[in-house]
Amino acid sequence: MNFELDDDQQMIERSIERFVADGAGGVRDPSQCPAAVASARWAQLADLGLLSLALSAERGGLGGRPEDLVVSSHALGRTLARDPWLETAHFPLRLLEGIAGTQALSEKIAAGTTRVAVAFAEATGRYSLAPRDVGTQGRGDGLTVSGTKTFVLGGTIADLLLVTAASEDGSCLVAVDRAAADVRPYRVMDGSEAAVVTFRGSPGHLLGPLEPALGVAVAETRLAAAAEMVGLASLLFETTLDYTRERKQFGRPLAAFQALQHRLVDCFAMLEQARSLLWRVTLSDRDVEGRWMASVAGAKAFIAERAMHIGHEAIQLHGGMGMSDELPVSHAHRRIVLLAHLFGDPASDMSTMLAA
Amino acid sequence: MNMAFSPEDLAFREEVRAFLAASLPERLRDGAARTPGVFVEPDIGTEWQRILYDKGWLAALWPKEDGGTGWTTTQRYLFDKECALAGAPMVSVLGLKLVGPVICKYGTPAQKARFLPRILSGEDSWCQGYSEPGSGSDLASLKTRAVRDGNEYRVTGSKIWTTHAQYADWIFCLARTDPEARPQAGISFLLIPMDQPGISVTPIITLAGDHEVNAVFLDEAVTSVDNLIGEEGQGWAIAKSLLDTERGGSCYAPRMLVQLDRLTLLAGEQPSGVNGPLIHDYEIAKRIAQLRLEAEALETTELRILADIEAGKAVGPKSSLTKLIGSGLIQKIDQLEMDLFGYDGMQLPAERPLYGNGAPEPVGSHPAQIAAAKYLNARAWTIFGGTDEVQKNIIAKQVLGL
Repeated sequence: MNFELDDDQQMIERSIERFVADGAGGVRDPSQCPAAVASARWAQLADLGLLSLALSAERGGLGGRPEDLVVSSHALGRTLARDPWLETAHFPLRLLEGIAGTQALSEKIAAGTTRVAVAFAEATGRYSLAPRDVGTQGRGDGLTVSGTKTFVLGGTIADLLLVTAASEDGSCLVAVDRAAADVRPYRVMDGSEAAVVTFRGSPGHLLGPLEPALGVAVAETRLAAAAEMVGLASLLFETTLDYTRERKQFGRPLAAFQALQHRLVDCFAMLEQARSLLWRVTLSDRDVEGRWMASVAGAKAFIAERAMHIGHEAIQLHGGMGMSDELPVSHAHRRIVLLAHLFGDPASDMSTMLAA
Repeated sequence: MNMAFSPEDLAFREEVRAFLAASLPERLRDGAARTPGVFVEPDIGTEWQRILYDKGWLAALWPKEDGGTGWTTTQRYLFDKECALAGAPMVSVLGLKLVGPVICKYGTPAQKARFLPRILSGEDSWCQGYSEPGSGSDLASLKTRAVRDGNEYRVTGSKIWTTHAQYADWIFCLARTDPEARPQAGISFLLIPMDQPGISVTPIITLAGDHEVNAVFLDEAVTSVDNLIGEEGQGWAIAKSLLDTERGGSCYAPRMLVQLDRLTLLAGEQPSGVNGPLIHDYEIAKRIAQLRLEAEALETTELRILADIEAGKAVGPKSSLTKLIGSGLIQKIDQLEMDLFGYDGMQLPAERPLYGNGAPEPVGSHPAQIAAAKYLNARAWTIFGGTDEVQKNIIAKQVLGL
C-alpha cells in the first residue's frame, strides 16, 4: 500500500504549478483575461501535454489513468488555475472516448487546435442528463438540431459544440458548429462565461449513441471535480491558517483563540476525510461500472459539502477581507460552489448514488 | 399566557397594511426584490424614504419631539413586519437608525436642529466610520487620530467596510482624541463632512460583484469642534448606547418566513428533473420544513423579547441572540434559494442594477438571476455589526455570566 505520488504524478503536479505561477492571477473572468491571453494559455496547456492527459493511449494520448487525472485536477484547484480544463478538455475527451469513430476529433481537442464545449443541460430538466428539449431531425448529411441548452460552460469560446439530443433512435451526441447556433453568453458563479444555446434547425453531425459514454464520462468528470474541490479546499484551509496566525485582535493572533483553533481542527478533519474518500474512489476497481459510478456520485456529494463548509469558514475567519473580491479566498470558494453544483448539488448527487 | 397582540396594536397593524397597499409603488417593490446586496440601493431607498417621510412614519427610533414616530416597541415591530410582508424596500439605516438616535440622545439643540431635519428629508446621506483595517472585532484598538486645532479637529486614519460611503455627505466617526488614555476612554464621536480634500473613498467590491462597502482614508480631514457629539472621550460609551437603542424589537424572522413561503411555491413550480415538481423531492421538502421551523422559533423568540421590553424588563444583550440566530438562518435560506434554481442558480451577472430598464435579461427568471449573488453577499451577515464570534462572546459573558 502506498498513497504517495509516483514520479510521473509529481511531474504533472510540478508542471501545473509552474504553468499557473507563470500566468497572472487566478481570476476566471473574461473581462480581466482577454480571449487572446486565454487561448495562448490553452495552447500552452496543450504543449505541456495536460490536455492529452485525458486521452487514452489507444487514441494517442497520455493514458487517461484516473489517478493521473485526479492529481492534475487537484493541482489545478490547489493553484486556483483559471483555465477550463475540467469542462472543455477532461469532460469532452472522456465523453468521446466512449464513442467509436471520434478519434480524429479527440486528437484535435487534445492538441488544442479545436475547442469544444459539451451542451448537456436543459432548463426543464434540472440535473437530468436525458435530453428532452433538444432533438434531431432527419438523418445523415441532412441531420439538423433544434431546441435550447443552458449552462453550456465554455460555450462562448468553443469552435464546436457537443450536444446531447433526443432522436428517433434514442439519445445521441451530435456535433454542431458554434456559428450555426444562437449563443447567448452569461456570467456564472466562478466568473467564467457560460451560454444559453439555441438551435433552430442547425446542421449537425451525428457522433454516436449517448449511452453508455455519457454516464461514464459524467462519473469521471464528477471525480475530477471532486479532486479540484479538494485542491481548492486545501488552498482555502492553508490560506486561512496563515491568516489566523498573522491577524491580531485583542492583542494576540486569531489562531491563539481556542474557539477558533477548534474550528480550524474541524476543517482539517473534513479536508482529510474528503481527501481519503477521493483516493478511495479513485483507486477502487471499476469491475462493476455501475457501482463505481454510484460511489463517485456519493463521493462528490461528500466532498462538495465539506469543501463548501471549508469555504464558508475561510470567508468567516478572514472577516470582512473574506467578503472582498480581491482575495483568492472568494475566487476559490466560488469555484467550489460551481463544481459542487456540476451534474448535481450534494443532495441530488446522493440521490443519484442511492438510485443506482 | 397568550401570543395575541392587543386590540390597539391590531388596529395599528390594519392602518399600516392599508397604507402599504395604497402607497408602496410596484416599481419599488420590484427594485427591492431584484437587489442582491444586503443594503438597498439609494434610488430605491430614497424614494421609499420620501413616501414614509410624507406620512410621518420614517424615524421609528427617534423621540416624537425630534421628528420621530413616537411608536412603542410593539408598533415598531408590527411596522417592520408588515413592510417585510409587503416586500417594501429597507430604508437606509445609517442616518435613521444609527447616527440619528445618537444625535437625538446626545446632541446639543444646535446639532439636532442642524442634522436631524436633513436626515429625515433625505438631503443628507450618512456613513459609519467605525471599523479600521487593524480594528475589526477589537474595535477599541482603533487608531484614527483626531487632533484639536483651534476650533477644528484634524482627523487622520483609515476606515474600512464603510457602507455607502460613495453616496455619503457625512461620516460619523470614532476617533482617538486622547492617545494617553485607556483604549476605550480616549475615543470621541465626531461628525465629519465627506466633501473635502482630506477624505478619499476607495471602493471594495464584494465577492458577488457588488459595490456596497469602501475604504475611507482621512488625511488631516477637518471638522468643526461643533461637530463633536457629547464630550471628548465619551465616544465609546455613545457607540455602546447606540447598540442599546438597536437592541430588542429585532424583526428578522418575518422577512424569512415570507421568503420561505415564496420558496415553497417555487419548489412546486421548479422541475425535479426526475418526476413532477421539485417539492416532491423529500430532501428539498425537508430542508424547507426545517428552515421554516427555525424561522418560526426565531419569530417567537423575537416576540418573547418584545413582550419583555413592553413589560419594562431589561433585555440587554439578549438581543445578541436574535442577531446570532438570524444571521446564520438568512445564509441557509439564501443558499436553499440558490439550490432550488439548479443550474440557473449559478448565474452571477456582473451588471448592476438588476432592476429597471438597463438590467440584463435573466437566464430563467429574475429571482434566479440574483440568487447566487444574494447567497454570496449573505455571507456578510455573520461578519458585520459584530461577528458571530463577538456575539457569542457577548452572550457568554453578559447573559450567561461566564
